Amino acid sequence: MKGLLIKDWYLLKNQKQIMIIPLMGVLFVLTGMESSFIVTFFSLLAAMLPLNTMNYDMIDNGFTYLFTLPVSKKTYLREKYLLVFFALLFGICLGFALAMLSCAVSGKKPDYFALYATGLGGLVGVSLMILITIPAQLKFGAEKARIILLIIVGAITAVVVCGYKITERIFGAKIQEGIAKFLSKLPTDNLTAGLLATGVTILLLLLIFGISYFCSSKIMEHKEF
Amino acid sequence: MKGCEHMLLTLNHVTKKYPQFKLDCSLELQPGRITGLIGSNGAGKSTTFKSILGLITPDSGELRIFDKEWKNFTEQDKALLGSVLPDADPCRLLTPADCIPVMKGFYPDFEEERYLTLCGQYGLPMKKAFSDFSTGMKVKLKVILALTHHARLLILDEPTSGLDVVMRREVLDMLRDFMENEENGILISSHISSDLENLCDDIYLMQNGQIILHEDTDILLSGYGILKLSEKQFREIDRSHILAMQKESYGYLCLTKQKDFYMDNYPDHVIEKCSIDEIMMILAKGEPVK
Repeated sequence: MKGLLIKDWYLLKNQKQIMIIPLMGVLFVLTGMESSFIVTFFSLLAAMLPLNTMNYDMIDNGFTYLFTLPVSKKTYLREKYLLVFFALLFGICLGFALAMLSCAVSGKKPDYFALYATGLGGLVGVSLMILITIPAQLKFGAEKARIILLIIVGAITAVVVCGYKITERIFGAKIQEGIAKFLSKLPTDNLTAGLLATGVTILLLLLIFGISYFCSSKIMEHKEF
Repeated sequence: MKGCEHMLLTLNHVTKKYPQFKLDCSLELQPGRITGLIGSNGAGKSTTFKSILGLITPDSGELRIFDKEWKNFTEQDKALLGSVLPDADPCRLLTPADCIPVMKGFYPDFEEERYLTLCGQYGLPMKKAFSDFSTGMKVKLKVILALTHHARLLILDEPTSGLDVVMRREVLDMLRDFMENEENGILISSHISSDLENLCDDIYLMQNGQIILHEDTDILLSGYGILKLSEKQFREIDRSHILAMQKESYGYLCLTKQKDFYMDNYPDHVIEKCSIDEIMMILAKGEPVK
Protein backbone atom coordinates (compact mmCIF):
# COMPACT_ATOMS: atom_id res chain seq x y z
CA MET A 1 0.00 0.00 0.00
CA LYS A 2 2.95 2.27 0.70
CA GLY A 3 3.89 2.33 -2.99
CA LEU A 4 0.33 3.18 -4.02
CA LEU A 5 0.09 6.03 -1.53
CA ILE A 6 3.42 7.47 -2.70
CA LYS A 7 2.36 7.09 -6.33
CA ASP A 8 -0.90 8.95 -5.67
CA TRP A 9 0.93 11.67 -3.79
CA TYR A 10 3.27 12.31 -6.75
CA LEU A 11 0.35 12.03 -9.14
CA LEU A 12 -1.57 14.75 -7.30
CA LYS A 13 1.56 16.84 -6.89
CA ASN A 14 2.20 16.77 -10.65
CA GLN A 15 -1.29 17.93 -11.54
CA LYS A 16 -1.43 21.63 -12.26
CA GLN A 17 -5.20 21.65 -11.63
CA ILE A 18 -4.57 21.05 -7.95
CA MET A 19 -3.47 24.69 -7.70
CA ILE A 20 -7.16 25.55 -7.94
CA ILE A 21 -7.60 24.58 -4.26
CA PRO A 22 -5.47 27.35 -2.68
CA LEU A 23 -6.64 29.84 -5.30
CA MET A 24 -10.31 29.18 -4.59
CA GLY A 25 -9.54 29.31 -0.87
CA VAL A 26 -8.04 32.79 -1.14
CA LEU A 27 -10.91 33.93 -3.38
CA PHE A 28 -13.61 32.67 -1.00
CA VAL A 29 -11.95 34.22 2.05
CA LEU A 30 -11.46 37.58 0.37
CA THR A 31 -15.02 37.74 -0.96
CA GLY A 32 -16.50 36.69 2.41
CA MET A 33 -18.29 33.68 0.90
CA GLU A 34 -21.02 31.92 2.92
CA SER A 35 -19.37 29.65 5.53
CA SER A 36 -21.54 26.58 4.88
CA PHE A 37 -20.83 26.82 1.16
CA ILE A 38 -17.08 26.94 1.78
CA VAL A 39 -17.20 23.78 3.93
CA THR A 40 -19.26 21.79 1.41
CA PHE A 41 -17.26 23.06 -1.56
CA PHE A 42 -13.88 22.08 -0.13
CA SER A 43 -15.15 18.70 1.09
CA LEU A 44 -16.30 17.94 -2.44
CA LEU A 45 -13.14 19.29 -4.06
CA ALA A 46 -10.86 17.27 -1.78
CA ALA A 47 -12.90 14.11 -2.11
CA MET A 48 -12.65 14.36 -5.90
CA LEU A 49 -8.86 13.98 -5.69
CA PRO A 50 -8.82 10.19 -5.06
CA LEU A 51 -11.25 9.76 -7.96
CA ASN A 52 -8.87 11.76 -10.10
CA THR A 53 -5.96 9.47 -9.19
CA MET A 54 -8.13 6.48 -10.07
CA ASN A 55 -8.86 8.06 -13.41
CA TYR A 56 -5.12 8.42 -14.09
CA ASP A 57 -4.56 4.82 -12.98
CA MET A 58 -6.92 3.69 -15.73
CA ILE A 59 -5.50 5.79 -18.59
CA ASP A 60 -3.14 4.09 -21.11
CA ASN A 61 -3.86 0.62 -19.66
CA GLY A 62 -2.42 1.92 -16.40
CA PHE A 63 -4.36 -0.71 -14.46
CA THR A 64 -2.59 -3.43 -16.43
CA TYR A 65 0.79 -1.94 -15.54
CA LEU A 66 -0.19 -1.30 -11.92
CA PHE A 67 -1.29 -4.87 -11.31
CA THR A 68 1.96 -6.29 -12.66
CA LEU A 69 3.55 -4.58 -9.62
CA PRO A 70 3.30 -6.17 -6.17
CA VAL A 71 -0.25 -4.89 -5.66
CA SER A 72 -3.36 -6.99 -5.14
CA LYS A 73 -6.83 -5.84 -6.10
CA LYS A 74 -7.75 -5.82 -2.40
CA THR A 75 -4.80 -3.57 -1.49
CA TYR A 76 -5.66 -1.21 -4.34
CA LEU A 77 -9.25 -0.80 -3.13
CA ARG A 78 -8.21 -0.36 0.49
CA GLU A 79 -5.78 2.36 -0.52
CA LYS A 80 -8.41 4.22 -2.55
CA TYR A 81 -11.03 4.12 0.24
CA LEU A 82 -8.42 5.18 2.77
CA LEU A 83 -7.51 8.05 0.47
CA VAL A 84 -11.18 9.07 0.14
CA PHE A 85 -11.53 9.04 3.93
CA PHE A 86 -8.46 11.21 4.51
CA ALA A 87 -9.30 13.50 1.59
CA LEU A 88 -12.77 14.07 3.07
CA LEU A 89 -11.26 14.76 6.46
CA PHE A 90 -8.75 17.15 4.90
CA GLY A 91 -11.50 18.89 2.89
CA ILE A 92 -13.75 19.34 5.93
CA CYS A 93 -10.91 20.70 8.09
CA LEU A 94 -9.73 23.03 5.34
CA GLY A 95 -13.32 24.14 4.73
CA PHE A 96 -13.86 24.92 8.41
CA ALA A 97 -10.58 26.79 8.68
CA LEU A 98 -11.35 28.88 5.61
CA ALA A 99 -14.92 29.50 6.77
CA MET A 100 -13.57 30.85 10.08
CA LEU A 101 -11.07 32.98 8.22
CA SER A 102 -13.80 34.24 5.87
CA CYS A 103 -15.93 35.26 8.88
CA ALA A 104 -12.96 37.01 10.45
CA VAL A 105 -12.18 38.92 7.24
CA SER A 106 -15.80 39.96 6.62
CA GLY A 107 -16.45 40.71 10.29
CA LYS A 108 -19.42 38.27 10.49
CA LYS A 109 -20.05 36.33 13.70
CA PRO A 110 -19.80 32.64 12.85
CA ASP A 111 -22.79 30.43 13.75
CA TYR A 112 -20.83 27.40 14.93
CA PHE A 113 -23.82 25.10 15.31
CA ALA A 114 -25.19 25.87 11.83
CA LEU A 115 -21.69 25.45 10.39
CA TYR A 116 -21.27 22.11 12.15
CA ALA A 117 -24.67 20.90 10.94
CA THR A 118 -23.85 21.98 7.38
CA GLY A 119 -20.51 20.22 7.64
CA LEU A 120 -22.16 16.95 8.66
CA GLY A 121 -24.82 17.23 5.97
CA GLY A 122 -22.20 18.08 3.37
CA LEU A 123 -20.07 15.16 4.50
CA VAL A 124 -22.92 12.69 3.97
CA GLY A 125 -23.85 14.21 0.61
CA VAL A 126 -20.27 14.35 -0.69
CA SER A 127 -19.53 10.82 0.61
CA LEU A 128 -22.62 9.52 -1.14
CA MET A 129 -21.54 11.09 -4.43
CA ILE A 130 -17.94 9.90 -4.23
CA LEU A 131 -18.78 6.46 -2.97
CA ILE A 132 -21.31 5.87 -5.74
CA THR A 133 -18.74 7.00 -8.29
CA ILE A 134 -15.92 4.62 -7.19
CA PRO A 135 -17.66 1.30 -8.06
CA ALA A 136 -19.27 2.91 -11.10
CA GLN A 137 -15.88 4.13 -12.34
CA LEU A 138 -14.30 0.73 -11.76
CA LYS A 139 -17.06 -0.99 -13.68
CA PHE A 140 -17.75 1.43 -16.51
CA GLY A 141 -14.88 3.94 -16.61
CA ALA A 142 -14.83 7.64 -15.71
CA GLU A 143 -17.11 8.96 -18.47
CA LYS A 144 -19.99 6.57 -17.86
CA ALA A 145 -19.54 6.85 -14.08
CA ARG A 146 -20.49 10.54 -14.24
CA ILE A 147 -23.70 9.71 -16.10
CA ILE A 148 -24.47 6.91 -13.64
CA LEU A 149 -23.93 9.29 -10.72
CA LEU A 150 -26.37 11.78 -12.24
CA ILE A 151 -28.93 9.02 -12.80
CA ILE A 152 -28.58 7.69 -9.25
CA VAL A 153 -28.74 11.14 -7.60
CA GLY A 154 -31.73 11.96 -9.83
CA ALA A 155 -33.39 8.67 -8.92
CA ILE A 156 -32.83 9.19 -5.17
CA THR A 157 -34.26 12.72 -5.40
CA ALA A 158 -37.25 11.47 -7.41
CA VAL A 159 -37.92 8.65 -4.92
CA VAL A 160 -37.75 11.02 -1.93
CA VAL A 161 -39.94 13.70 -3.54
CA CYS A 162 -42.44 11.24 -4.99
CA GLY A 163 -42.47 9.24 -1.76
CA TYR A 164 -43.26 12.37 0.22
CA LYS A 165 -45.97 13.47 -2.24
CA ILE A 166 -47.60 10.04 -2.26
CA THR A 167 -47.48 9.74 1.53
CA GLU A 168 -48.88 13.24 1.82
CA ARG A 169 -51.73 12.38 -0.55
CA ILE A 170 -52.57 9.21 1.38
CA PHE A 171 -52.19 10.54 4.90
CA GLY A 172 -52.97 14.23 4.22
CA ALA A 173 -52.00 16.66 6.99
CA LYS A 174 -51.16 13.74 9.29
CA ILE A 175 -47.76 13.34 7.69
CA GLN A 176 -46.74 16.93 8.47
CA GLU A 177 -48.08 16.54 11.99
CA GLY A 178 -46.12 13.30 12.35
CA ILE A 179 -42.90 14.94 11.22
CA ALA A 180 -43.47 17.92 13.53
CA LYS A 181 -44.18 15.52 16.40
CA PHE A 182 -41.01 13.54 15.65
CA LEU A 183 -38.92 16.72 15.46
CA SER A 184 -40.40 18.03 18.70
CA LYS A 185 -39.15 14.92 20.46
CA LEU A 186 -35.58 15.60 19.36
CA PRO A 187 -33.32 17.31 21.90
CA THR A 188 -33.24 21.08 21.56
CA ASP A 189 -29.99 21.92 23.33
CA ASN A 190 -27.02 22.30 20.98
CA LEU A 191 -24.78 19.73 22.66
CA THR A 192 -27.25 16.83 22.65
CA ALA A 193 -28.49 17.70 19.16
CA GLY A 194 -24.91 17.93 17.94
CA LEU A 195 -23.99 14.57 19.43
CA LEU A 196 -27.10 12.96 17.98
CA ALA A 197 -26.39 14.43 14.54
CA THR A 198 -22.78 13.27 14.76
CA GLY A 199 -23.87 9.74 15.69
CA VAL A 200 -26.38 9.56 12.85
CA THR A 201 -23.78 10.92 10.41
CA ILE A 202 -21.18 8.35 11.49
CA LEU A 203 -23.72 5.53 11.08
CA LEU A 204 -24.73 6.82 7.64
CA LEU A 205 -21.10 7.17 6.58
CA LEU A 206 -20.28 3.63 7.75
CA LEU A 207 -23.27 2.33 5.82
CA ILE A 208 -22.36 4.24 2.64
CA PHE A 209 -18.66 3.28 2.87
CA GLY A 210 -19.59 -0.36 3.56
CA ILE A 211 -21.99 -0.69 0.64
CA SER A 212 -19.64 1.10 -1.74
CA TYR A 213 -16.62 -1.01 -0.68
CA PHE A 214 -18.63 -4.23 -0.99
CA CYS A 215 -19.76 -3.31 -4.54
CA SER A 216 -16.22 -2.26 -5.55
CA SER A 217 -14.77 -5.53 -4.17
CA LYS A 218 -17.22 -7.59 -6.19
CA ILE A 219 -16.42 -5.58 -9.34
CA MET A 220 -12.64 -5.87 -8.81
CA GLU A 221 -12.89 -9.60 -8.05
CA HIS A 222 -14.11 -10.26 -11.57
CA LYS A 223 -12.11 -7.57 -13.31
CA GLU A 224 -9.43 -8.70 -15.76
CA PHE A 225 -6.80 -6.53 -17.36
CA MET B 1 5.92 -32.10 -19.04
CA LYS B 2 8.89 -32.64 -16.74
CA GLY B 3 8.67 -32.44 -12.98
CA CYS B 4 8.44 -28.89 -11.77
CA GLU B 5 11.33 -28.96 -9.25
CA HIS B 6 13.55 -25.89 -9.49
CA MET B 7 11.43 -24.37 -12.24
CA LEU B 8 10.99 -20.66 -12.40
CA LEU B 9 7.78 -21.11 -14.29
CA THR B 10 5.50 -24.03 -15.11
CA LEU B 11 2.31 -23.89 -17.11
CA ASN B 12 0.53 -27.19 -17.47
CA HIS B 13 -2.54 -26.96 -19.71
CA VAL B 14 -3.41 -23.50 -18.54
CA THR B 15 -6.66 -22.73 -20.28
CA LYS B 16 -8.64 -19.56 -20.80
CA LYS B 17 -11.75 -19.50 -22.94
CA TYR B 18 -13.08 -16.53 -24.86
CA PRO B 19 -15.96 -16.55 -27.34
CA GLN B 20 -13.61 -16.68 -30.34
CA PHE B 21 -10.47 -18.11 -28.80
CA LYS B 22 -9.20 -20.73 -26.40
CA LEU B 23 -5.79 -20.78 -24.76
CA ASP B 24 -4.39 -24.16 -23.75
CA CYS B 25 -0.77 -23.57 -22.94
CA SER B 26 1.93 -25.76 -21.42
CA LEU B 27 5.46 -24.52 -21.03
CA GLU B 28 8.25 -24.30 -18.51
CA LEU B 29 11.20 -22.09 -17.79
CA GLN B 30 14.31 -23.20 -15.97
CA PRO B 31 16.64 -20.91 -14.00
CA GLY B 32 19.49 -19.52 -16.06
CA ARG B 33 17.56 -19.69 -19.32
CA ILE B 34 15.96 -17.24 -21.67
CA THR B 35 12.88 -18.77 -23.23
CA GLY B 36 11.21 -17.25 -26.26
CA LEU B 37 7.53 -17.43 -27.11
CA ILE B 38 6.71 -16.78 -30.73
CA GLY B 39 3.56 -16.90 -32.78
CA SER B 40 1.49 -14.83 -35.15
CA ASN B 41 -0.87 -12.11 -33.95
CA GLY B 42 -3.71 -13.58 -31.93
CA ALA B 43 -1.81 -16.82 -31.26
CA GLY B 44 -2.24 -16.38 -27.50
CA LYS B 45 1.12 -14.98 -26.42
CA SER B 46 -0.30 -11.97 -24.58
CA THR B 47 -3.02 -14.10 -22.95
CA THR B 48 -0.26 -16.41 -21.71
CA PHE B 49 1.75 -13.48 -20.33
CA LYS B 50 -1.32 -11.99 -18.65
CA SER B 51 -2.16 -15.35 -17.07
CA ILE B 52 1.34 -15.59 -15.64
CA LEU B 53 1.15 -12.06 -14.25
CA GLY B 54 -2.26 -12.66 -12.68
CA LEU B 55 -3.93 -10.05 -14.86
CA ILE B 56 -6.45 -12.62 -16.05
CA THR B 57 -7.67 -15.69 -14.22
CA PRO B 58 -7.15 -19.00 -16.02
CA ASP B 59 -10.19 -21.27 -16.24
CA SER B 60 -8.19 -24.40 -15.47
CA GLY B 61 -4.72 -25.93 -15.49
CA GLU B 62 -1.65 -25.69 -13.32
CA LEU B 63 0.30 -22.44 -13.17
CA ARG B 64 3.31 -22.38 -10.86
CA ILE B 65 5.84 -19.58 -10.43
CA PHE B 66 8.96 -20.31 -8.35
CA ASP B 67 7.29 -23.69 -7.66
CA LYS B 68 4.37 -21.93 -6.02
CA GLU B 69 0.77 -22.22 -7.22
CA TRP B 70 -0.26 -18.83 -8.64
CA LYS B 71 -3.39 -18.74 -6.47
CA ASN B 72 -1.13 -18.64 -3.41
CA PHE B 73 1.09 -15.94 -4.86
CA THR B 74 1.47 -13.01 -2.46
CA GLU B 75 2.50 -9.42 -3.06
CA GLN B 76 5.98 -10.32 -1.71
CA ASP B 77 6.24 -13.15 -4.25
CA LYS B 78 5.12 -10.79 -7.00
CA ALA B 79 8.00 -8.47 -6.13
CA LEU B 80 10.31 -11.12 -7.61
CA LEU B 81 8.73 -10.65 -11.02
CA GLY B 82 9.62 -7.94 -13.48
CA SER B 83 7.51 -7.35 -16.54
CA VAL B 84 7.14 -5.28 -19.66
CA LEU B 85 3.86 -5.41 -21.54
CA PRO B 86 3.11 -3.46 -24.72
CA ASP B 87 0.65 -0.58 -24.24
CA ALA B 88 0.66 -0.97 -20.45
CA ASP B 89 2.44 2.10 -19.18
CA PRO B 90 3.32 3.60 -15.82
CA CYS B 91 1.22 6.60 -14.88
CA ARG B 92 1.64 9.27 -17.54
CA LEU B 93 2.19 12.10 -15.07
CA LEU B 94 5.13 10.49 -13.29
CA THR B 95 8.70 11.33 -14.22
CA PRO B 96 11.69 8.95 -13.91
CA ALA B 97 12.68 10.95 -10.80
CA ASP B 98 9.21 10.38 -9.25
CA CYS B 99 9.56 6.67 -9.97
CA ILE B 100 12.35 6.36 -7.37
CA PRO B 101 10.23 6.91 -4.22
CA VAL B 102 7.28 5.16 -5.84
CA MET B 103 9.29 2.04 -6.70
CA LYS B 104 10.92 2.10 -3.26
CA GLY B 105 7.40 1.97 -1.84
CA PHE B 106 6.55 -1.07 -3.95
CA TYR B 107 9.91 -2.86 -3.82
CA PRO B 108 11.97 -2.83 -0.61
CA ASP B 109 14.98 -3.99 -2.69
CA PHE B 110 14.75 -1.25 -5.30
CA GLU B 111 18.27 -0.44 -6.57
CA GLU B 112 18.25 3.34 -6.72
CA GLU B 113 21.92 3.67 -7.69
CA ARG B 114 21.60 1.20 -10.53
CA TYR B 115 18.35 2.81 -11.68
CA LEU B 116 20.00 6.22 -11.83
CA THR B 117 23.03 4.79 -13.62
CA LEU B 118 20.90 3.02 -16.24
CA CYS B 119 18.67 6.06 -16.77
CA GLY B 120 21.79 8.16 -17.28
CA GLN B 121 23.43 5.56 -19.50
CA TYR B 122 20.38 5.34 -21.78
CA GLY B 123 19.75 9.09 -21.84
CA LEU B 124 16.43 9.27 -20.03
CA PRO B 125 15.51 12.77 -18.82
CA MET B 126 14.75 12.51 -15.10
CA LYS B 127 12.35 15.45 -14.90
CA LYS B 128 10.26 14.76 -17.98
CA ALA B 129 6.76 13.23 -17.59
CA PHE B 130 6.31 9.74 -18.99
CA SER B 131 3.57 11.02 -21.32
CA ASP B 132 6.14 13.23 -23.08
CA PHE B 133 8.54 10.33 -23.74
CA SER B 134 9.17 8.91 -27.20
CA THR B 135 8.27 5.27 -27.85
CA GLY B 136 11.89 4.20 -27.42
CA MET B 137 12.30 6.11 -24.18
CA LYS B 138 9.09 4.61 -22.79
CA VAL B 139 10.27 1.07 -23.56
CA LYS B 140 13.69 1.74 -22.05
CA LEU B 141 12.22 3.13 -18.84
CA LYS B 142 9.83 0.17 -18.55
CA VAL B 143 12.72 -2.28 -19.02
CA ILE B 144 14.91 -0.39 -16.52
CA LEU B 145 12.07 -0.40 -13.96
CA ALA B 146 11.68 -4.15 -14.46
CA LEU B 147 15.41 -4.73 -14.03
CA THR B 148 16.17 -2.70 -10.93
CA HIS B 149 14.34 -4.39 -8.08
CA HIS B 150 16.15 -7.75 -7.85
CA ALA B 151 13.54 -9.61 -9.89
CA ARG B 152 14.28 -13.28 -10.53
CA LEU B 153 11.94 -13.74 -13.44
CA LEU B 154 11.25 -11.32 -16.26
CA ILE B 155 8.06 -11.60 -18.28
CA LEU B 156 8.59 -9.53 -21.39
CA ASP B 157 5.94 -9.22 -24.08
CA GLU B 158 7.35 -7.49 -27.13
CA PRO B 159 9.91 -5.41 -25.21
CA THR B 160 11.69 -4.37 -28.40
CA SER B 161 8.55 -3.39 -30.30
CA GLY B 162 8.83 0.00 -32.01
CA LEU B 163 12.55 0.38 -31.32
CA ASP B 164 15.25 1.07 -33.87
CA VAL B 165 18.26 -1.23 -34.24
CA VAL B 166 20.45 0.69 -31.80
CA MET B 167 17.82 0.85 -29.09
CA ARG B 168 16.93 -2.81 -29.62
CA ARG B 169 20.54 -3.77 -29.09
CA GLU B 170 20.69 -1.65 -25.92
CA VAL B 171 17.59 -3.34 -24.50
CA LEU B 172 18.92 -6.80 -25.38
CA ASP B 173 22.23 -5.96 -23.72
CA MET B 174 20.38 -5.03 -20.53
CA LEU B 175 18.66 -8.41 -20.63
CA ARG B 176 21.97 -10.22 -21.12
CA ASP B 177 23.35 -8.40 -18.06
CA PHE B 178 20.32 -9.52 -16.08
CA MET B 179 21.15 -13.13 -16.94
CA GLU B 180 24.58 -12.89 -15.35
CA ASN B 181 22.83 -14.22 -12.24
CA GLU B 182 22.23 -17.85 -13.13
CA GLU B 183 19.21 -18.09 -10.85
CA ASN B 184 17.35 -15.63 -13.05
CA GLY B 185 15.22 -16.38 -16.08
CA ILE B 186 13.38 -14.56 -18.84
CA LEU B 187 10.25 -15.41 -20.80
CA ILE B 188 10.15 -13.15 -23.82
CA SER B 189 8.10 -12.70 -26.95
CA SER B 190 9.05 -10.63 -29.96
CA HIS B 191 7.93 -10.13 -33.53
CA ILE B 192 11.56 -9.67 -34.44
CA SER B 193 12.76 -13.25 -34.61
CA SER B 194 16.41 -12.29 -35.08
CA ASP B 195 16.32 -10.83 -31.56
CA LEU B 196 15.13 -14.14 -30.19
CA GLU B 197 17.56 -16.19 -32.30
CA ASN B 198 20.46 -14.35 -30.72
CA LEU B 199 19.06 -14.17 -27.21
CA CYS B 200 17.01 -17.25 -26.36
CA ASP B 201 18.16 -20.67 -25.18
CA ASP B 202 14.92 -22.30 -26.27
CA ILE B 203 11.82 -21.27 -28.12
CA TYR B 204 8.14 -22.20 -27.94
CA LEU B 205 6.02 -21.69 -31.02
CA MET B 206 2.39 -20.92 -30.36
CA GLN B 207 -0.54 -21.16 -32.72
CA ASN B 208 -4.28 -20.84 -32.06
CA GLY B 209 -3.71 -20.80 -28.32
CA GLN B 210 -1.56 -23.92 -28.22
CA ILE B 211 2.14 -24.70 -28.19
CA ILE B 212 2.93 -26.51 -31.41
CA LEU B 213 6.70 -26.64 -31.14
CA HIS B 214 9.35 -26.43 -28.44
CA GLU B 215 13.02 -26.62 -29.32
CA ASP B 216 16.42 -25.39 -28.26
CA THR B 217 17.39 -22.40 -30.39
CA ASP B 218 20.64 -24.09 -31.48
CA ILE B 219 18.71 -27.07 -32.84
CA LEU B 220 16.18 -24.81 -34.53
CA LEU B 221 18.93 -22.94 -36.33
CA SER B 222 21.25 -25.84 -37.12
CA GLY B 223 19.02 -28.91 -37.40
CA TYR B 224 15.97 -27.46 -39.10
CA GLY B 225 16.02 -26.81 -42.82
CA ILE B 226 13.88 -26.11 -45.83
CA LEU B 227 13.66 -28.37 -48.84
CA LYS B 228 12.54 -26.85 -52.11
CA LEU B 229 11.28 -29.79 -54.12
CA SER B 230 9.80 -30.28 -57.54
CA GLU B 231 6.67 -32.46 -57.89
CA LYS B 232 8.85 -35.42 -58.96
CA GLN B 233 11.36 -34.94 -56.11
CA PHE B 234 8.53 -34.67 -53.61
CA ARG B 235 6.99 -37.95 -54.80
CA GLU B 236 10.30 -39.80 -54.57
CA ILE B 237 11.83 -38.39 -51.39
CA ASP B 238 11.73 -40.12 -47.97
CA ARG B 239 9.16 -38.00 -46.17
CA SER B 240 9.54 -39.53 -42.74
CA HIS B 241 11.46 -36.50 -41.44
CA ILE B 242 9.30 -33.83 -43.07
CA LEU B 243 7.35 -31.89 -40.44
CA ALA B 244 5.18 -29.75 -42.70
CA MET B 245 4.89 -28.82 -46.35
CA GLN B 246 3.50 -26.00 -48.35
CA LYS B 247 2.46 -26.07 -52.02
CA GLU B 248 4.39 -23.58 -54.13
CA SER B 249 4.41 -22.70 -57.84
CA TYR B 250 7.59 -24.72 -58.41
CA GLY B 251 6.47 -27.72 -56.32
CA TYR B 252 6.72 -28.06 -52.56
CA LEU B 253 8.37 -26.21 -49.70
CA CYS B 254 9.07 -28.70 -46.92
CA LEU B 255 10.27 -28.20 -43.35
CA THR B 256 12.51 -30.80 -41.76
CA LYS B 257 14.19 -31.20 -38.42
CA GLN B 258 16.80 -33.50 -40.02
CA LYS B 259 18.48 -31.21 -42.50
CA ASP B 260 21.71 -33.22 -42.43
CA PHE B 261 19.89 -36.44 -43.29
CA TYR B 262 18.54 -34.90 -46.49
CA MET B 263 21.85 -33.20 -47.33
CA ASP B 264 23.65 -36.54 -47.04
CA ASN B 265 21.08 -38.58 -48.92
CA TYR B 266 19.83 -36.08 -51.48
CA PRO B 267 22.86 -33.92 -52.32
CA ASP B 268 21.34 -32.68 -55.59
CA HIS B 269 18.19 -31.31 -53.91
CA VAL B 270 17.81 -27.69 -52.84
CA ILE B 271 18.16 -27.76 -49.06
CA GLU B 272 18.59 -24.50 -47.16
CA LYS B 273 19.04 -23.33 -43.60
CA CYS B 274 15.97 -21.61 -42.31
CA SER B 275 15.16 -18.78 -39.94
CA ILE B 276 12.72 -18.92 -37.07
CA ASP B 277 10.33 -16.79 -39.15
CA GLU B 278 10.36 -19.40 -41.92
CA ILE B 279 9.80 -22.24 -39.47
CA MET B 280 6.91 -20.33 -37.94
CA MET B 281 5.42 -19.54 -41.34
CA ILE B 282 5.54 -23.12 -42.67
CA LEU B 283 4.21 -24.61 -39.44
CA ALA B 284 1.43 -22.02 -39.34
CA LYS B 285 0.42 -22.06 -42.98
CA GLY B 286 1.64 -25.44 -44.17
CA GLU B 287 0.07 -28.83 -43.73
CA PRO B 288 1.42 -32.03 -42.20
CA VAL B 289 2.87 -34.61 -44.60
CA LYS B 290 0.87 -37.84 -44.97
